[in-house]
Amino acid sequence: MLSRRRFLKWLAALSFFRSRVVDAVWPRPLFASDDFQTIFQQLFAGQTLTDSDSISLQLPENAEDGASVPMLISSELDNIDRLYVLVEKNPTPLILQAELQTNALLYLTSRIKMAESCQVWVIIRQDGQYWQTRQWVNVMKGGCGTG
Amino acid sequence: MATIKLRSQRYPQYTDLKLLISHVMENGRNRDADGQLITAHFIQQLQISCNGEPVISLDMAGSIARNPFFTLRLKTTRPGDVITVSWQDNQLQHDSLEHIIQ
Repeated sequence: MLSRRRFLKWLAALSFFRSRVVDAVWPRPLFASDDFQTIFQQLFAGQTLTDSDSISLQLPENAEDGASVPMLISSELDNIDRLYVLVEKNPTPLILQAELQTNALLYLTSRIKMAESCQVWVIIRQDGQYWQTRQWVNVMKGGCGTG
Repeated sequence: MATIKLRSQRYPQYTDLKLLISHVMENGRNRDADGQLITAHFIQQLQISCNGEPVISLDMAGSIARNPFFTLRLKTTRPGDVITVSWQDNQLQHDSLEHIIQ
């Protein structure tokens, strides 16, 4: 007999073939468990990243719970088309990448997971130029599951 | 079951979208009460479109907190514009929602 779980999986697979809801392919290697430098190189090798005050990154100085750290990223810069958020000490350092079309402004709030105290990096691309900012967050309660 | 809640607010200079998705966002490194690894189950892609045109596409993994909440901002919208939100996870489950700007 078909178990409920198998039935649901089959149903999900079927609907997947019928209609993919997103167009692009998820970039598996970028979200791999690897050290920060490796992922950073994959993303930005050969690019010049310049520190910028024009990106606002708001995170708590001390995060009580690494399983849910509130984050706000915003910028007044125009023509931003890419956004990357990396948590340096997470097992999978890249936590988010975004593609913005012309009708989008850079204003994003989310709640992220942090395995331990470390730097959070935000990198944006604007007119082909890469800009970065970072902030240190002390994580009170982390652990292997949170990142 | 509907997994997506969306609220929009138009301001003179921009429109805010507040988005809440019900999802476990398990990264595959947590253990259950019996010490067994919980299977990875997380949203990989989230796409926001306005009148059928993609506006924001997000790629993510298990490092977004459980039940993801996002605020996003669009430059211009008009009442009647249709916002479509779609997500797809690593187990190929997906959901989408259509929302009309007031």
